[in-house]
Amino acid sequence: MQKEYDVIVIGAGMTGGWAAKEFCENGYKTLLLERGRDVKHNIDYPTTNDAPWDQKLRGTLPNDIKESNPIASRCYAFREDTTHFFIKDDEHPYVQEKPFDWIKGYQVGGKSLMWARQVQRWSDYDFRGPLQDDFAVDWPIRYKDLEEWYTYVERFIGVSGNKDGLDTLPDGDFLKPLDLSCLDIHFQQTLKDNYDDRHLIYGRCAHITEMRDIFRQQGRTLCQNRTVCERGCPFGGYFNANSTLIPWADRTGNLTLRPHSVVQSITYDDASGKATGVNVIDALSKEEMQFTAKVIFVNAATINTNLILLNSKSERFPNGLGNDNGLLGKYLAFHNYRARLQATFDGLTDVEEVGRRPTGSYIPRFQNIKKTTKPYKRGYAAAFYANKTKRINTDGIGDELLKNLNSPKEYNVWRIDAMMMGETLPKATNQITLDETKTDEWGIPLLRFDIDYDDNDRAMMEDFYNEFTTMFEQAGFKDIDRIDTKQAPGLDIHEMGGARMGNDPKESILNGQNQMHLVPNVFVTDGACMTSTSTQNPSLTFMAMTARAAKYAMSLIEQNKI
Amino acid sequence: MVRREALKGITAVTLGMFLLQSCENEPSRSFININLQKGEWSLVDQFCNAILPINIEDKTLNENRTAYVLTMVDETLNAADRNLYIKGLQAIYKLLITEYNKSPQKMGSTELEGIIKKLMAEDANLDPSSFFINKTKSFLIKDYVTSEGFMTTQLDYKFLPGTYLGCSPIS
Repeated sequence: MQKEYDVIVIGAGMTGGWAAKEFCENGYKTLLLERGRDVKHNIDYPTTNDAPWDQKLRGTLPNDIKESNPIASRCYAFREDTTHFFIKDDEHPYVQEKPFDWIKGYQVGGKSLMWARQVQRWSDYDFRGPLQDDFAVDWPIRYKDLEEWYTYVERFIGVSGNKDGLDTLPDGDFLKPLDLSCLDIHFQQTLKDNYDDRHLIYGRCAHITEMRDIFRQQGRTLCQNRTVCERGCPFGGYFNANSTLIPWADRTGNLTLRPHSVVQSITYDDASGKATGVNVIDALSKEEMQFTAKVIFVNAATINTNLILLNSKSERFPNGLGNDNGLLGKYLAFHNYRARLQATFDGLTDVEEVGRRPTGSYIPRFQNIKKTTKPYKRGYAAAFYANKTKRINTDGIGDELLKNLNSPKEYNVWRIDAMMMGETLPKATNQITLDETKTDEWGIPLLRFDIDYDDNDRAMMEDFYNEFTTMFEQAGFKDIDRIDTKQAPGLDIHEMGGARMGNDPKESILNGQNQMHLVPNVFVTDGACMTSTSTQNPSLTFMAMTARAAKYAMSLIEQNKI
Repeated sequence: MVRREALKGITAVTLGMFLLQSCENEPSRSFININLQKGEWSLVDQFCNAILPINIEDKTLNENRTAYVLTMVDETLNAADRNLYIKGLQAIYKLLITEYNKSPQKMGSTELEGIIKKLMAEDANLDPSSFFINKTKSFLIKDYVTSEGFMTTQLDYKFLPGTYLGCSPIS
C-alpha cells in the first residue's frame, strides 16, 4: 500500500469526509483513515427497510445489550434497529473521574449516520460571546469569516428551513420547510403576542425537501418522511457522509480510504518544525505502520482528536503535539440538555397532525443576547415537540380487549415537550487527560474524564423552567411538569473543545484557520477546535470550518508554505 | 390429609395428560435464556388466546404471537423478571391442577376470564401469577398495535412514502 500522500485525514465522519472531499476534488492524493469498519451507502444499512412489524422485538432493546451497554443505552438513538452503528461500552473503555457518557460511532460515516440532523448557523452573538461575557478566550473568527462557507456546505448537504429573519440565527440557503403543526402555530402566535424577542421556528434540518441538480449528482432524492433516519437512508434523504462526501471524494480517483486504522499518534520532525505523518495500528491484524503527508487534518471527533494529539509526544512536544501552553485537553464544554418541561393542551380538538416529519420545532436563544441581565452567563435555546395521538384503550381481556383495541377513535390531548439546549462555559477544570497506567487493546493510554456541570448551568436551568412555565401558561398548556433528567455530560453528544481556537498561542492551540499555532501543517476542524459552544447544534459550523480550513491549507501548499 | 394429597397427585397426573395432549403439536423452539418444559408453550398459547382471542379473519393478528410473547420474555426482560414470569407460569399450571382440575382449553371462556381477572388484580410486583398474566397481556398488546394490519388500518400508518400534514381537520 502507498505510504506517502499529499494529505492525511484522520477520521471518516462528517468533518473528515468534508476534508477528504475538498482535497480530492482539487487533485490532492488523500489518505482517509478510519478506526472503524467501512459502511457503504445502502449496502451496509441492514435494517433500513424494516417496517415496525418486521422488527423482531418491535423496537425494544434486548436486555443483554442494555445491561452490557449502560452508557450507549442511554442514547435516544441506540435502538434495536441501530445498535450496529454504536461502539459498545467495553470496546473502548475510559476512566470517569466524574460521570461522562461518551457516545461513540466508529465507522466510515461516523456519527453522521445516526445524528439528529439539526443545523443552525452561528451569529456574531455567538462568536463574540466569550469576549462580551468574559469567559474562555475571544474567538479568532466572526460570522463574516464563515458566512460563505455555511452557504457552501448547505448547498451540498441540503438544508430544509424557513427564512426567519432573526439576527440571532442567520438564515441560510434553504430548501423548503415542512409544515409546522397546529400546536406549533398556536405556540408561535402566543409568543408573538407576548414577546418581541422570542420565536418558535421550524427546526432547520439536513433533509432534502426539494430536488436540485447537486443532489441528483450525489445519487440522492427526496426525504420520504419515514423517520427512521438513524438506520441509514436508502434515498439519501438526509445528509450523512456515506451517501455524499465519501463517494464524492472517491470518484475523483484521489482518495484512499483505509478503515480499521487506529491512529496512535502524529509524528513530528524537529528539524522542519512540522508533522511528518501518522503512526497507525491495523485494528484487525494489530500490525503497526506509518504514513506520511504534507498536511494532516485531525477529524477523529472531539474526544479522540484530543486523545491523538495528547498521545503525539516527542522530544519537542513531551506533553502532546503543539501543547507548549498545557491547554490541550482542557476547556472542554458541551450542551446542557438536563432540563425539560412537559405539558398537555386540551385545545385544538378538531385538528391533528397527519403522518410524520423528521424534525421538530426550535426556539432560538433569547436571554442575555446583547448583555448579561440574568444571574448567569450566556443562555439556552430549546427544542420543541408536540403531538396528539389516537387513544388506544387497553382495558379488559378477551373480546372486550379486542374490541377496545380496535376502536382507537378518540384522541389523547396534545402532549408537549420542550428541551433546554444550554450553553456551558468552557473551564480549565473540565478536562480530559491520558491515564498514566491503563491502556486500551492497542496500547494507547485510556482517557480520564473530569467534566461536570457548574452553578452557571444550574442557574440557567432554573431560568429555563421559570420562563418556559410562564410561556406555557400563556399558551394555555396544563399539567406542566419540570423534569431534570440529571443526565451526565456527554449524552448531548455535543462535546467540544480541548484544542481551542484563539488569537494568542499562549492561550489556544489553533489559530483562526484551525491551524495549530506550533505545528503549521496540522489542522483540527472537528468539535475539538471550538472555543465556546453557544446553543446551536454544532455540526454545520464544524463542516463550514473544515471546508474553509481545507481551502486555506491548499493555498499554503500551493505557496509552498507548508 | 394424606387422602387429599393423593387426590391432588391423581388430579395433577390427569391434568398433565390434558396439557400433554394439547401440546403434541407444540413447536420445538429454543430460547436464549428461558427453558420451557413440555406443555408450557401450550399453556402460554392458551392464555394468549384467552387474553386476546384469535380471529383468523382478523389480519391484524400475528399467528406467531405466542412465539413473539415468549421471545420478548426471553430477550427483553432482565433475569429477575424472566424468573418471575416462569415462576408465574408454573404457579398457574399448579393452580389449574389443584383448584380447577382443568386445562384452559377445557374451560369456558367466562371461567377462564374470571381466573385471569382475579390474577390480574393481584400486585404484579409480588405475585408471580399476576406478573405472568400482566406481562403476557402487555406483550400481546404490543404485538397487536405494532402489527401491519393495525398500524395501516387503525392508525393510517404508511411506512413509505411517509407524509406530513401539520394541521389537518379530524374527519
